[in-house]
Amino acid sequence: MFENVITANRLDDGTVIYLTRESLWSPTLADAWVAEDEDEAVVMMAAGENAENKGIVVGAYLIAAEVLDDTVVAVRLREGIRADGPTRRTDSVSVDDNSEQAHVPLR
Amino acid sequence: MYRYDEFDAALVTQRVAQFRDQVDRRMKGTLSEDEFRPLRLMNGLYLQLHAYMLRVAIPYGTLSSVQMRMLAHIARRYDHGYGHFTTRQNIQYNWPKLVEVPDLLDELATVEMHAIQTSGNCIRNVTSDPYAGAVADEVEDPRIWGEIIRQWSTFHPEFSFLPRKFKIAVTGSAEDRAAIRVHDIGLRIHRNEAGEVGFEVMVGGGQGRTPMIAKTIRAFLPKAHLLSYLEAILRVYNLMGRRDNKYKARIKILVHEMGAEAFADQVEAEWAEIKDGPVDLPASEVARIENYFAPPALDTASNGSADYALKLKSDAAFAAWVGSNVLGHVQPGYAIANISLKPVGGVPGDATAEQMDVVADLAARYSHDEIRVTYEQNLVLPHVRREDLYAVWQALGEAKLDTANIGLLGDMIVCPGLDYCSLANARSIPVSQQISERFSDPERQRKIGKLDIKISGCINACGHHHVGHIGILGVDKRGKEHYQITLGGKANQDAAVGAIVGPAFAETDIADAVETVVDTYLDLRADGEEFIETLGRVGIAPFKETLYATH
Repeated sequence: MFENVITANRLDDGTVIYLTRESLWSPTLADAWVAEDEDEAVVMMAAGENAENKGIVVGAYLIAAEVLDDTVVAVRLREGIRADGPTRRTDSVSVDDNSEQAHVPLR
Repeated sequence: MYRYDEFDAALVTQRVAQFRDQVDRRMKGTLSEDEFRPLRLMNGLYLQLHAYMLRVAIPYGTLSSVQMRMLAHIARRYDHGYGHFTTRQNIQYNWPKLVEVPDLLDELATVEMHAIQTSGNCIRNVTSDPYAGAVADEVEDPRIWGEIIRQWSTFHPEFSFLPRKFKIAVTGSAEDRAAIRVHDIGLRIHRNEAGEVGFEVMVGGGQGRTPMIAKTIRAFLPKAHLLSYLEAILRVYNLMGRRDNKYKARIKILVHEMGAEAFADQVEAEWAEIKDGPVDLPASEVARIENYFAPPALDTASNGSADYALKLKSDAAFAAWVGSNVLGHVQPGYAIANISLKPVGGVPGDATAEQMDVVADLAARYSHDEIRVTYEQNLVLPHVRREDLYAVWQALGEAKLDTANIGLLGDMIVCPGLDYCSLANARSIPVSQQISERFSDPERQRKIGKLDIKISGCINACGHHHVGHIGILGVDKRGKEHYQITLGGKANQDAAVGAIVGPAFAETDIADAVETVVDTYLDLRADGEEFIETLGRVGIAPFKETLYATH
């Protein structure tokens, strides 16, 4: 099944973000707009490129995702780590951004 | 330590001002990402998996207390309260905000530090022996030439767009503590038969997807000619190195394809043209820089104390720490104290801002204001009176910096891996933590003895797995993390690339596999034999047998 979302980094601070159905950018993968076919993905990518051109995001790209138990999760480990934060980290407490999860168990 | 002159200071502050303007233009949209990317990389700023990452240069791994306190301040003010010390003696911050980086760099400049040339296809930060100026087997302090190379290579217009990045390491001892044979250029200061001091020049070492041990292209180069000779090497590389394929662009490929002898001939021919020109420094300038590295005013009357000897006898934990982490100093009565950044279950190479402050305070009070960063991702207090070691150890213990495992199994080199790095295929840090927890008993580690485990999350080999006694390489097999084991690598003066032992192990099996290798060694070792010696004697076959018999 075709399920893709668009991710990027916010230009000013580098935070990992996802395009939402409202054409906003959220640091939470669960908020992402999930394209269910290639036509929808093309529309999303155009929104990503537009955000790049406006200097809101950098490096927008499509990733494979799936909807499990009504939430969006990344298919690949790399994107799962991008979404959840490092699985091991020295700053065990989030600093100033609730998108940063303190600790994620080994998958 | 070297102090900036007016040229150094102006150059760094001008660069910060330029970068501030570039960031401003990027935020206003007058610079595209394609235009901005090479500019930020020239200032050490990457965009990694989660955020921007800033790599700050620590020339030849030497820091003062004031500089370390600034690194701590930056961790608190601009990052998440910690930093990661790297295999090239630098520090990386994982979470800086682009818009704050110019302010960060301004603050760094106040303590004579920067992030220039920590990325890009240029001559990177020069690395050196972390015990420079403190060990008895040293011919001369290699940091003098590290500093000369730093000045020569900074913004060198001819070498700003090389075919690929370029790394130089210098040591002044026969024992290689700087992994010089896996650098693009390795320099070893030594005496020739006439008693003159010069360099053995090695070229074409490196790791990555094509690991190579550097070849000696000149057994003895008089010191005075170092810069012109380096310039000749770089010119040959710049002209003949491949630019069509980034995987074949490092100098090691050029040296390998030409042959070391033919490459040396080209260098000698180029050098003949420039050796008596303006590149080499006048002796007075070398002497000026040398003065910055004069030995500290050590207490020559100090020769330990009865109290120190008593503590060694009465406090087993202290004695264990001294046994693994403390080395002899060129000055009797003094010691080199290594600070392990590899606690059981920790992130290798990471230090919190609070820990950095503790190390800065200890250096100011007990180590003539000097700190070193090792390529093995630890810290060093290079000049500590033996009678002060107990107080140092106690203070380190309060900061959870007293792990007694230098050179032992727990002292692993580990790259950030897929937890942080956008190039990685697999995680490195959790694997190191599984292993360190499996071998958490310090007595067990001491019985195993010297053993270098090095872990990389991809073939770029930032975790030096090729030269680990046990090397572990993370690979992606159909979306799952697997780990390939190599055995027999060495990073020292007998440098060697390890051999792949067999098929990769699943993430759930890799700690078991390492334990099998260690147990096989313990079964086979002769009295007093280190892991690498047993392996050299018996070969990898017995290890292969035990690893795959049960797999």
